[in-house]
Amino acid sequence: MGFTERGKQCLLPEEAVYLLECGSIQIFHKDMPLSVQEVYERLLLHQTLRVLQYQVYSHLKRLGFIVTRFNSSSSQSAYERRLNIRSSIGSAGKRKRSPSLRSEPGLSRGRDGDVCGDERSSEDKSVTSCTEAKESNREGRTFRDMSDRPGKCPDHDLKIKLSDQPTISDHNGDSRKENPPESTDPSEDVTMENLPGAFRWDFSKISFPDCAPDRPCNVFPAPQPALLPENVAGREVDISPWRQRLSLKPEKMSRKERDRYDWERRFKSNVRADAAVQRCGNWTEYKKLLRGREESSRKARPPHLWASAITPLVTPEHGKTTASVLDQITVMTSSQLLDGSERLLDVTADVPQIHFDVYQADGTSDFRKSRPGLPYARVCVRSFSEAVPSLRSLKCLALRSVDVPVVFALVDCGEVAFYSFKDFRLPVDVYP
Amino acid sequence: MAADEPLPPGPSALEAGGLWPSASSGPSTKFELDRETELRLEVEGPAPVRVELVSGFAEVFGTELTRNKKYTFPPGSRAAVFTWHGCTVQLWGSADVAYVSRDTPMLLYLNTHVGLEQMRTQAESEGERGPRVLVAGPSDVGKSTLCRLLLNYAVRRGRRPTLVELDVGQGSVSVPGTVGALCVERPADVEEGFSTQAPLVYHFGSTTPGTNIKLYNKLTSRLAHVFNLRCEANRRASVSGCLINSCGWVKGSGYQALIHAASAFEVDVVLVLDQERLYNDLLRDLPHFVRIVLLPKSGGASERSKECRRESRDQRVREYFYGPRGSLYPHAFEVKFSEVRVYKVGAPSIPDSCLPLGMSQEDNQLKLVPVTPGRDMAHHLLSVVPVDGGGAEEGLEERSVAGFIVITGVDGERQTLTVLSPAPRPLPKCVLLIMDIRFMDLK
Repeated sequence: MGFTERGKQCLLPEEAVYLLECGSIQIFHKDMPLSVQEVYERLLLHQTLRVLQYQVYSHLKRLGFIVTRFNSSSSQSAYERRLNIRSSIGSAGKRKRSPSLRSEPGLSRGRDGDVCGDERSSEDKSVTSCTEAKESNREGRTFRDMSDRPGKCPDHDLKIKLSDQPTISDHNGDSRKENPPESTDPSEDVTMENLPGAFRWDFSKISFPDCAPDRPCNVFPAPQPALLPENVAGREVDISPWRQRLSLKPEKMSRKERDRYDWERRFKSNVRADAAVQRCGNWTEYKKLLRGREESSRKARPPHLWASAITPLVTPEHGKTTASVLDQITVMTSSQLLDGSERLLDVTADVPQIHFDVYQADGTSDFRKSRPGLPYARVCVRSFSEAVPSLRSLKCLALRSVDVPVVFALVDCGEVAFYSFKDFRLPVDVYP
Repeated sequence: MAADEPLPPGPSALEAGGLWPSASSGPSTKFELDRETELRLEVEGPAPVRVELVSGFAEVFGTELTRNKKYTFPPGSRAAVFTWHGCTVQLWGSADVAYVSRDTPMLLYLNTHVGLEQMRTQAESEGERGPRVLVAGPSDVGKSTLCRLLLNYAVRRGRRPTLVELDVGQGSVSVPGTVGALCVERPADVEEGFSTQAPLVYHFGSTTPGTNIKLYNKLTSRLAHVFNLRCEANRRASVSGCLINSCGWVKGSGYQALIHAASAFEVDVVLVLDQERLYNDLLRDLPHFVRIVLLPKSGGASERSKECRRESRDQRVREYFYGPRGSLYPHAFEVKFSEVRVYKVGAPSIPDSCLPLGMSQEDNQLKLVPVTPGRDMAHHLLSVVPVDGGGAEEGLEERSVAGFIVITGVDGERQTLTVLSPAPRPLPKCVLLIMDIRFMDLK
């Protein structure tokens, strides 16, 4: 605890309060000893550290951890990272100092030596730590960019993209959608026999001037004069010049609309190609067919799930895409993380800060103040009344913390609870 | 008062040019039009433009012009004088907004009419119902104009087609924020459009279907139901079929609403204007017995700005109260807060994350929410929906509208509203449905 500055031994406010609470020190102000309450008021309310953060600090301290303020220079430098990249990923589950790191004492000592030297003037220190943080950030970005390349599996896992990414389950949904006509065919056949599915309109005789590219007809014959209104003269007309004049201007679509449109184009089945629909000759039969299908799909639902007041969250109709299911259960708003990783680097006010580095104090870790090494975890203190952090701020924190997991300490009236986000790989569509 | 009777009298037949200064003042130009060409007018300046047919035959969107009669086009209006045989047209006013175009898709539109007419003839001989046509396409491609043209040609052939207006933003049947249907019995007036003597109008409340897509679809179904009833009662209307004018929102929910309208009206033909993407989508999602036709747009249809659309909406509301030529005089009177019941259709939407798990809020969109009269109500447009005694309020949003009023002032101290109404006081026994649309009674 404490640090030396200009030959004096100093304590950070939280350290002083903690020691006072333990009864180890006494704090004097103008030669008067301060009570615990006064110390709280003087050191915690007006200083940089808030009571919430002190509560987390003292909680962790009592549990036996070594807690220091967050120091971005304790994250690995770019060079170290490059050397240890494999080992640090491999031992991600075990937060011990990796052997490869220990085997390079010369390297890390050189760096630590710099930091120690800089500690004399705090301004300089902040400058160096900033540049180092920047460096490591930049490194983090190139690392991520590499993984974003198409063809490779994405291996950073916070990239939860809640758009309509077609996944394997989509295919299941689709095939299920196409199956019912086969199974319900017999019942449909009965109705079809009763109703001859004749077209009402014979569109081979009733023709319309159609500019669609799939229509072969080019020259439209002159209409019968009997069908024209008075004083109107029709004549033969060539359609082909009009085909070129159809709007070629691309439609304005938002990203979501475009995703949806692409999905529909690929997976939505053509109503016209459906054999059962082909047999319908008019709307009445078609609607009857649709109603029948809906009914049969409803009947197929197990009654013990759907008959009572409490039903499953997702209906089979709404569960066609992973995105629609995720939309229904979403707590955090999605954000487009891949768009600009540069955006993550500019630290803005709305992103929560990392407050503490936590080290294990057991025999396995050789923590030294001059050479702290990789922390066991980093702690971000949040109040219970604050909102859930956005996906973007999570991402920012992860980026700032580099390889060390970020733990959220949630303080609710003195109770401290710890939460962390686990990385995992999203299921990806194996189809092209 | 009967339930479906509209409050205001129709636009009275005042002599053309009552509102505008004398015709002979501006410069005049003579246009000789060849056969199958059109004179396009875009009146932009402050002064109106007047057109007179000197010789030959000409029509404006399917309505024939009378020779030696002056037609006035007010500022902001667009029109095309088309001739099948060639004619001479005299034009008064600033002539730089007028040009002759030989390049019109009128022959294609005429052949579309011929196709529909063949269907009507077949329906007549078989004793079946006539063609129901949905006109779809993005905004500003001439959907309303094509509807007007085809309706006019049908009426000139002696049919009685129905215009179904699903465009809540720029509708031609009633004020914006409504959907409606109109039985067309004579060609549209060149200046005023179709005569709106007794339209069937339903309250929607906003200028875009996206604000309450569920209500929009429900009203579409309701219109289809009423139209079917009419077809059963009136043979001629049934044979003539209908033209459905959709709104220009053709993506996402707007597209779903289009499919819903097609299925509710059981359309036979879909005319897609100018968009191949929409054509291909409809080809995929509508059954094979529906004929889908892709048509080009006319060069005269040009994109309008947002302000322009707002202006034309405002104009529609003004025309409702003051008549197309300013010949009507609406009444202004005060109503006590206690005398009216005001509702809004559709509760404000709550984000899903605020609801208990598994709860859906779909029903909210059709819920009637009472609105307490207050200052924020000023300048809103309200639909007057008659109620027949009792407090029966269910299905209120599905009842046809008798008329509209505008709240021009709210006096919180005296607890009164000042309203602009087409009919004198008192208000009929009714419920008021508030719209998002505001109208400032200026000018």
